Amino acid sequence: MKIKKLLMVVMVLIASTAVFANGAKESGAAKVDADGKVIIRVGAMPYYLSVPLQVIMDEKLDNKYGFKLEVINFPSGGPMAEALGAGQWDIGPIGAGGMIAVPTYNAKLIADVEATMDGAWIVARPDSDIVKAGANIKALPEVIGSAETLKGKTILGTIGNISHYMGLDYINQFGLGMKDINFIHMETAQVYTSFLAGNGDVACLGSPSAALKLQKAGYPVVGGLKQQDISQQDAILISDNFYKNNYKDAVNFMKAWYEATDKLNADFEYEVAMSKKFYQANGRTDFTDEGVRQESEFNTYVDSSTAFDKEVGAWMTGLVAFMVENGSMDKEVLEAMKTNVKLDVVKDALK
Amino acid sequence: MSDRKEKTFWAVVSLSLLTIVWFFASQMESMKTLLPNPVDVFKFLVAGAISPIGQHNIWGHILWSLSRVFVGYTLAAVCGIVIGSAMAWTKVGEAIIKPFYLLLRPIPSIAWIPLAILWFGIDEKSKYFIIFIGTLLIIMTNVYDGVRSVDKNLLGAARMLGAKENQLFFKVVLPSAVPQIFSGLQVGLGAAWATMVAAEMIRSSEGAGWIIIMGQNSVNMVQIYAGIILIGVVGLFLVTAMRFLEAKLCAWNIRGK
Amino acid sequence: MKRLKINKFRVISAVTLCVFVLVWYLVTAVFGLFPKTMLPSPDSVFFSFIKKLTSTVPDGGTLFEHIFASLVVALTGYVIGVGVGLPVGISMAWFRPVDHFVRPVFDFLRTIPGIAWIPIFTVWLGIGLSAKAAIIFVGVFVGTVVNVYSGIKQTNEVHIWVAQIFGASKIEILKRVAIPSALPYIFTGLRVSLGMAWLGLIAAELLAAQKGLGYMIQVARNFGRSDLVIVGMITIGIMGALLTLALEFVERRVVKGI
Repeated sequence: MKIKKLLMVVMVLIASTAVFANGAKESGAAKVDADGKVIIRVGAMPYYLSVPLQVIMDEKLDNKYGFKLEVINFPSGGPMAEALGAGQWDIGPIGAGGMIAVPTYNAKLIADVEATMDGAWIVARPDSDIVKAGANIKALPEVIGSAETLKGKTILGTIGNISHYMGLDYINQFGLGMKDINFIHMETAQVYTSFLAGNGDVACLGSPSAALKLQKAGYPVVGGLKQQDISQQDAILISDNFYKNNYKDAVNFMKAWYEATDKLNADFEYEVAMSKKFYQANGRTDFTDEGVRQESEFNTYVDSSTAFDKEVGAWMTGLVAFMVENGSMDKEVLEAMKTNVKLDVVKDALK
Repeated sequence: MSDRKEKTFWAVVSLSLLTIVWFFASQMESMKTLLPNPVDVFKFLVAGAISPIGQHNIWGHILWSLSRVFVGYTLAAVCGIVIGSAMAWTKVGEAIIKPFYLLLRPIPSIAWIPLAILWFGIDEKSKYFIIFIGTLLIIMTNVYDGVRSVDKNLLGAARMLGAKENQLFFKVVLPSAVPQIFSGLQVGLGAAWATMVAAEMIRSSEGAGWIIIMGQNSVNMVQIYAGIILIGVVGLFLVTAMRFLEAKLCAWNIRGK
Repeated sequence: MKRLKINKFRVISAVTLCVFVLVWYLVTAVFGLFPKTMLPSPDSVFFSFIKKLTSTVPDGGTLFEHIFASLVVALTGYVIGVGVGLPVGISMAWFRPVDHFVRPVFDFLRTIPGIAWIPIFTVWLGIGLSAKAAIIFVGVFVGTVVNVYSGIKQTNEVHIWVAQIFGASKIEILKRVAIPSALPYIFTGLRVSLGMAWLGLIAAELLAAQKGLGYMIQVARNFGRSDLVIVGMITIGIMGALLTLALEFVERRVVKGI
């Protein structure tokens, strides 16, 4: 009887360890392909920030710098950040999702990609008093609305991505905070459908395709990155594990990245063609020739000559500070963000 | 047999009536954005059966979903029967397992998604896990109840005839709990199919749940309704198949049907 | 002797739970087999739990506010689901034409999960309480109908004959014989559907929310706070178990009383 009991206890121990061990992720150096080249798993989204990857593929820059590129696609920054936590990609460009990935998953921010000045908007209903209130902020003539008309209104957006930041900044402009409005959290697709179905007074959209569709449907823009004079600075992140174990490969990747951005910045038509090719290959159906041209005109990649022109990671750190101030993140997160900005990889790559 | 014919007849009548009501409702001005025309939905389904929606046609999507359900469900069925009977048959087993069972049972499978992604990543494995966890506790519940409710007289008789404890379990308890285990497997299959929609929300580019999710992303009401009907039909088919299997396998013990 | 035995199994239960937490602690905090974002240690979950009682970071609500909001949604959906499910289940089981007519539609609808209805309910009912309650309603309704139906169907035929001989009408037999004898089944139905209501909660709060346990988990996920995700899950588990216990208590009172 005693032995039986002991056996039971041992079995439970084994079973519970097995449950935990199931989730164990192998850490250590990245995998190597048949030719002995390191496979770098690059996280990407079918937007402007990831287009240089198309150049790396087309020009076989990965071959040139001695690694193998494997692109892993994500629809948006949230899932991409989450996948970093699950150890599913090593390096990649990301937007506001970085504010979660860097401090929480200890990823390193090694470079800025480009400054997006446009592409995320806030819309309201055409007949609402918010729109009727017109522009009330002198410095920002395109920001529509007023404190009185916005108070108590329902704002739809996604917590934890650029639309959250944009929406908070929008109401801050009128001296309002989270407590003065009903901020309702939904995934981007649901913000779009719910708003179309008649719910909410204001919708904050981080994805350009949904926002453009709403504009086309006749909903006026009351705010946005450009309108509010705020930007989104995408950045390149690298997982803690890859940084520690594959530092040299990260340097090689950045060499290829800067060769690609140099190429893109040098030739406008090439940039447009590459963007279209990349979007097409990754299942985007909502882009137009005109839109891609506009996008390429507005945005410029940070390349080898401008890598240190601005303080790297300043935007992301500022975003985290903003979230802390608005009570969405704990104070300690800001410290974690600051210590994870690392400039050494790019410095070594541009040597 | 005539009973079955009668049932089929009424099923056809009531479902056609529902479609007719739906059709006329969709024609009303006020319902325009709420209800698409059933004819459009039907056309969408027929077109989707031949030409692809996204990367696959409807059969492809169903197969993808079924394969996910199959893996998660099979795992859950095996574990559920083993753990459930261990919990019901031995007092020690009950003492060990029941606290976890009681705590985990009310946690919906969707709540596991964040952890599943961190543990298993975003591909198939995390979907299997979500379906597994959603099905496991349901099957366990039924197995537990089934084994516990075995006729005490039966046990007494077997004991008197000198059956050992493990003989008792395999020869008496398990066979008499089979109907309940089967109803657990049937409910579990329904639950697995339902959980599939949640699992495909993780990230997928195929599957019956994906059809709904993509329909929502592109505000295509026809596609949403088509996806829902698809899930209903396949689910109904699965449950019916399971009932048929039950009728064949445990013909000696069909309760009140 | 018997008393002692019960205590022995209680002890085993307690020991197992402790061992589980210990193993969890060992693989996370002591040996560091897992990064804390993937599996936070039990002590950090505990401290997050304590902190969440008063803190509103990151989702704008304390734990109790979330619990309360979730209870409102779940119970609204539950009450409506039971309120509709009981009469539908009873009439399906008792009146043949209703059964013929409703059963096929019901069989078809029951396999569609609440979560699949989200896009449609958003359009029909908006993003407020009613849409969320509707998603919970779906699960509760199915659970109630199934159990009530089989309960009434199992009414002892002999009892029905006796009632018929005494000249009772169909409605009277239903009221006096079938429903009372189906009471245990009905209560099982009520209990199962309460579980369903609670299970549907996260799906409902996925829709749109400002408060609620499902919402809390969702936001914690977006911020990569796996410690808060686990706090939310454990709270849902405990609340669900408590609800079931409460209903079992009522059931014992009522069924005994008859």
